[in-house]
Amino acid sequence: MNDYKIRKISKEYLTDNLIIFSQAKYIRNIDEFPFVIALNEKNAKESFSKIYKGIYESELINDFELVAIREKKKIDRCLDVFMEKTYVANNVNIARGIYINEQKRVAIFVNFKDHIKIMSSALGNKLDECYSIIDKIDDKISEQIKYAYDGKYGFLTSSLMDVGTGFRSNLVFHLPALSIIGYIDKLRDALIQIGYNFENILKENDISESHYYMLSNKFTLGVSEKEIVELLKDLSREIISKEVAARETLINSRIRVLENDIKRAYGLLKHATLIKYEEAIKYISLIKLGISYGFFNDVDENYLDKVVFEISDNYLLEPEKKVISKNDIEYTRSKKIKKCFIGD
Amino acid sequence: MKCEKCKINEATIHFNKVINDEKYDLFYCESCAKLLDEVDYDTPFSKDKMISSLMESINSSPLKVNYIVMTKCSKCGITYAKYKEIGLVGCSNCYKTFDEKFQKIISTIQKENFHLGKTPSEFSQQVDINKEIDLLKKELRKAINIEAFEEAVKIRDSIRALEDGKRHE
Repeated sequence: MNDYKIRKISKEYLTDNLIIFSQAKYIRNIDEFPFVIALNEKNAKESFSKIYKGIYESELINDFELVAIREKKKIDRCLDVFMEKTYVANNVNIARGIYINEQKRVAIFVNFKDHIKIMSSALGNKLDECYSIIDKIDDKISEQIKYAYDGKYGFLTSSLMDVGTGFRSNLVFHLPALSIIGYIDKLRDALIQIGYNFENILKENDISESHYYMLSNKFTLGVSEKEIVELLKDLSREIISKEVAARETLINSRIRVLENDIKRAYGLLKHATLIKYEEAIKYISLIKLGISYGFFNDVDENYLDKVVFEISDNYLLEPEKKVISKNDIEYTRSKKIKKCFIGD
Repeated sequence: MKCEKCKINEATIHFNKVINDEKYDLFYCESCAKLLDEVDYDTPFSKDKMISSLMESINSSPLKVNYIVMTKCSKCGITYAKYKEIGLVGCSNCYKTFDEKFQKIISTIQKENFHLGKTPSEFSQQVDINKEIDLLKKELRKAINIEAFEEAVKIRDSIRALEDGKRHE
């Protein structure tokens, strides 16, 4: 028999708690210059100055800090914060930089894969907000700079996969029940079939299995930006309802095993002094699942969502320290995670 | 068909070379083609490179087609062979230079092959004019079909005026 009461999970709760991260991006190029892959040092400098001038004259400059490419550690950290794995071309000597507004979580990448990439990120289910922010910035820059645009193909980009709106939107979901039950592959196949990308966000960190997935639009041509956002939101409601059903199945079919796994995860995160990234992500996911069932009420769930993006090795490396041991990183990670336990 | 170079092996690769605006068709076997400088056989994996190679794979039976390897974009100097190698477009003019090829790739990887959505303000007027011209052309066809020639002349003049305006912008 259960010695606690399992909380009935409401859709409202899950809508607010299953989408842990939102992001919107615009990809743009300037008409008068070759795209980045064909830039030489001279026209890279000129295009960089042109964009700088455009940002300056649009008065956006007051909100942003320019980070030079040479400050590599700072850039790595920023990219991690914004969850971006940006392509860096071989010609690293060309003029390139990132404008960052860390408070508003907005970044403008200059001369990376394309001349301009405007990106806004936010924790939680805030796609509309991210889209609205980048759309305003894009309007302001386009008043100063003539974009590469074609009546038929729309905004011209260096990859044919981005041409058209040049607009990409991402939502990161926490889907433990679908993952544990084993339905996630079916869901991924269905989403790919209807033209969406759906990937495990930690795949590149050599974690074969985690419960965090990113949904993004594949098509950028023949569909408007607003439609992309609305369709992604519709799909997110579908995914959430599938996860709700999976959570009910899970609690009904294997409550003891689940309770054991979740409570062990709680104990480990609360008491471990050193913790590896892979372990931490796995246990954070289980604790989050436990919160939804009402197993604990002394954990700050919003903090847990935030901390997922702030406990990678790269993020925890402090730029001022030249040498840092593995133990130092694991210790800092465990200390950081422990802050989620309210009252500790 | 035999390879044009060694005259022994079966030709499996078709080049369209464009030199000084003249188009040449060349049919080589794989080993002779590998000796040509303009063809890069090292294709490390990337999504963009895979896409750029997509149409070649689709068209690979029975002849593997390498498209206009010598055509250079007049603005950035990138050839189609180079685009295939790197998987990235060199400039806005490449979209015109390689339009035939890009159209096929775009219709394979995208939902449609026309833009819907945001238009920069300086282009919105031009887009409106294009739409108006399309509309007038439809009306012109209708007028000709019903033999309303006086009306057709008026419509034709309106189309010309709009097109002249575009040219002088």
